[in-house]
Amino acid sequence: MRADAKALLDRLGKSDFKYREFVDRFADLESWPIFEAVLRDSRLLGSVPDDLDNDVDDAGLHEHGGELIQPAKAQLRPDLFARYASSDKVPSAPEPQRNIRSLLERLSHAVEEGEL
Amino acid sequence: MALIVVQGLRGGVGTTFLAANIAIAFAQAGREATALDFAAHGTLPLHFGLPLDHPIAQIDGNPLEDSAPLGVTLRAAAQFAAKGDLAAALASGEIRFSGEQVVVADLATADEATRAMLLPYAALDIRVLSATAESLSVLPHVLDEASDRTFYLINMADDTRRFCRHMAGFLRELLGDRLLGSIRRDEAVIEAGAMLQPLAKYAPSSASLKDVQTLVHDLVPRLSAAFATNDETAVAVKPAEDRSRKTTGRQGVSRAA
Repeated sequence: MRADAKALLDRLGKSDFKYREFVDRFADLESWPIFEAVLRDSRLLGSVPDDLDNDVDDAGLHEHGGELIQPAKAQLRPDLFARYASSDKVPSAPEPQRNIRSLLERLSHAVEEGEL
Repeated sequence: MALIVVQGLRGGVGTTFLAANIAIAFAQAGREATALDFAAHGTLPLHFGLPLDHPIAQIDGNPLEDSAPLGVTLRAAAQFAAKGDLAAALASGEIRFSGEQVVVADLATADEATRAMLLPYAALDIRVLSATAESLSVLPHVLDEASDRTFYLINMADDTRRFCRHMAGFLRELLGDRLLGSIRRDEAVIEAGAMLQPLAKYAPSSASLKDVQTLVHDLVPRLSAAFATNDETAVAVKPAEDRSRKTTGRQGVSRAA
């Protein structure tokens, strides 16, 4: 650690810095196509409702009401750590279908609230 | 027992730094910790402040002098795995993860073979990513192959960077509790390596170090709870009475003769 940084921490009585989290606009959050690309990856989609492709292709993300299935293996089950002993893991049941727009709206809300 | 596999989604995401400092944090928390270096030209010793030419004992060899820096037993395992001995040793129980030990395996990003061998024995599989499109682009593939022991960790996080903040939020939504958290980017990590010092010595107030320690603090009770119900483990380990067989010194991973 640089001496000036350490001196500042000492003066502040802190052990480390915590960066301020800056608020971003809704539009900023939706401006990363890779997020949608990840969400729409076939390996993540347990099944894709027919209207999802149509809606996105025709009207773009903002207008569609398409849904996707959350990746089953991404779900943490409450008994996960208690079942380490088992090697015959059964994949989690898929979560209820989730909406891309809903996800992005929640992210946006978090940004506007300064939580993100 | 706990084998923790640490592997990056992409190269350069700081996997070795995390593996080393996770092991160090467990040792500081009073656990017997071992770090296994599965990289052919691994840099794990660097994060313990060891000289570049410092010999590291092989996993199937005898312990060398100063082989437990910062309370962590270091073992090189790449050659052992490359020879094809690892799978047999694991299956036969020659290598087993026993007792209260915590074994942290540092895997090279592309080493799918070793990963496949170790994962059935792992209590925790930590996949490391950085806040980059490259890491994110690999995620669908990784999620597709993830087990329910797989968790994710963002390294080198910088909240002053817009994409980093957005990606962290995105991953929180996507992964839920599968996202263990973020380790803040800290220049002290690079400086400590350049000074040939462990981060804990070079910059004990490092933000990265504090985040790793917090991570390990959060993992301990989870792993302890697992141990309590892990006596009838289904993995191919020797019965408890066989653990008195010859081992190679103070190795965290026992290998019977």
